[in-house]
Amino acid sequence: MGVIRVLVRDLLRHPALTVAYAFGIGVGAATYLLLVSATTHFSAQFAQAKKLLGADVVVQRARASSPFMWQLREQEAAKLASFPGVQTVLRLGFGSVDVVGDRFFMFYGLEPDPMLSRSMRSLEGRMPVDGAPEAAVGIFAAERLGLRVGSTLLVRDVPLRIVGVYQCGHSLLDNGGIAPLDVVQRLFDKGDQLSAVLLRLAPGADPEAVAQAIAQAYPALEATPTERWISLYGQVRLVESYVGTIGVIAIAVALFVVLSVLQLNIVTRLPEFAILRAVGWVRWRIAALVAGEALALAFFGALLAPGIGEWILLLLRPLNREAVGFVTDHVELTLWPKTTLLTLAAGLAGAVLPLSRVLRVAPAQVLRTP
Amino acid sequence: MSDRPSLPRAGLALEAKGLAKAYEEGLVVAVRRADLSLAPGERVAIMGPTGCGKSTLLAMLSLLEAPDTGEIFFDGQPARTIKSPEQWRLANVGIVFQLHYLIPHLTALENVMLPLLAKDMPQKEREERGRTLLASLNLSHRCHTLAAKLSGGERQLVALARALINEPRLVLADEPTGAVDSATGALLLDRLFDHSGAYRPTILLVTHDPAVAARADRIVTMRDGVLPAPQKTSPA
Repeated sequence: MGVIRVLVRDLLRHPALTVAYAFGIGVGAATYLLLVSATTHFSAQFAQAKKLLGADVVVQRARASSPFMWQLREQEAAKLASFPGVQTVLRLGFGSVDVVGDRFFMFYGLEPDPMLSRSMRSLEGRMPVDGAPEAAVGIFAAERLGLRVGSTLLVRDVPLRIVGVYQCGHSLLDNGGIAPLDVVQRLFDKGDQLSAVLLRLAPGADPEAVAQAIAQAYPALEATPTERWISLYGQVRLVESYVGTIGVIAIAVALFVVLSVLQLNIVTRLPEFAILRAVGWVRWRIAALVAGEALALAFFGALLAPGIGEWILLLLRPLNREAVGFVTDHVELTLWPKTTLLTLAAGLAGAVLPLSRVLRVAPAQVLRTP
Repeated sequence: MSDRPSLPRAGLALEAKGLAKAYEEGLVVAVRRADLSLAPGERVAIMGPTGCGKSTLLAMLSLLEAPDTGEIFFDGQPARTIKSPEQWRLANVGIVFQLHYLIPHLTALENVMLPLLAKDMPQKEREERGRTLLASLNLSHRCHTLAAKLSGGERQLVALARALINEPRLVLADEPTGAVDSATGALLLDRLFDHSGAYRPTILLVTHDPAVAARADRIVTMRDGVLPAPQKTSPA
């Protein structure tokens, strides 16, 4: 209790500085929190997409590194329709295209599908009809590009009439547009090529077993239960790995801040530690005091991290208009406990060097210096 | 000092033989040879000109610094056998430094309680002992004042209270009245020398002031780093 009181006093001796130090650590922690939130959000987009489309198995070209590749053929999809256990085949083609004011506009080519239609909440108009040069756009895309029913969207010099505005709660789709598959194939010059084929299975069919059977029957195809589909993608793994690396750097920043703060702190407080030794404080007790300060600063930093993260997102929002839906628009609070643990660990690690300096203090030497 | 029954604390016997200390690889000799002997409860004043090595001697006797040569004995036990100087100081020694060395962002009471924080003791008892001691120095009203806001004299009184809070068996005081007014100095010396009951610590006091030194049982003089061989001590 008494040592804690001393610790609190130490932290409060320059409140503005303590807040500044905690803020510095918080920026490091917030950077980590944002990066991990971004990865989680990115993965969640794909995970949501598969739920939305109601597929049990996703089929694509074997060893394809990206869902943006158009590597399947219509005839391969046709074969799957009669595969044992398969109830419905949903052909899918999608890609990004440069439209006015948006360089990364996602267009999804879908076949008319009742289940899909049910999952889309039509805010205005209707869904596009197969074969017609028309499209529906998601609510975010409509707002961003100023589109509404009756507007015309020029995509690669092809005018598409907007017949509906929808909202499905999935930011990738709400941020893009949906057109009939054949229209999207023409837009992207893909002939009879597809990005992927989604399979809905007959009741009781096991997705793992069906996926394995498809892979055996068609070695050029890769069938994956939708639960595992997202993990196949190199981009996602790359992003996760990239973010992991930057996350380590962010935590290293927090560690560096703690280290600098404590070093600075300790240089000015050597007489204090010398006095504590002189009045009988053993080294471990002083070590506990310094480590406690580091942990307290790190914890305050971690407390500030979600707020700082939201603030950073707010600042970046105007720069991110095109990336709405792809870039996270909020801090994932479920990641806060892990962030806090990492920040505390960084705090402790950052305290090691200053601590070693404190423990090497020769009290008489320090107290002799005026 | 508190309602807690405490055992009578007799002073510590101190003997130093041939102590020497130099700095900067022997270029600066602080203490050439110091021999000193204090009986339990004895009060001895060391006088001598500035820079003669008095403070270094006190640093060695409080085990804040190791001598280059020579040996120190406490109650006949060689100091080199003491494994933890910090714990030994906590149990036996109170130090009053020439500069008060209070921690500025702690209150007067918290500064006084610092040694007790290293002991397993209820916080209430720590506070009670601290308050009683500060009251005896007329500082009740300054208990919760930050050390940085105390006057110079008040700081030195608080430093004395910190040195005495543990009822140490040996008090080492380095010019405790050097930077205070005469009234504060008198109060400080009264509190340093006047102990009631069976508690009678051994006191070694460094001072320039003959009037202060006169409060001691014996005065020794240190000159050019040399404290002459011990003279016969009189029991307290």
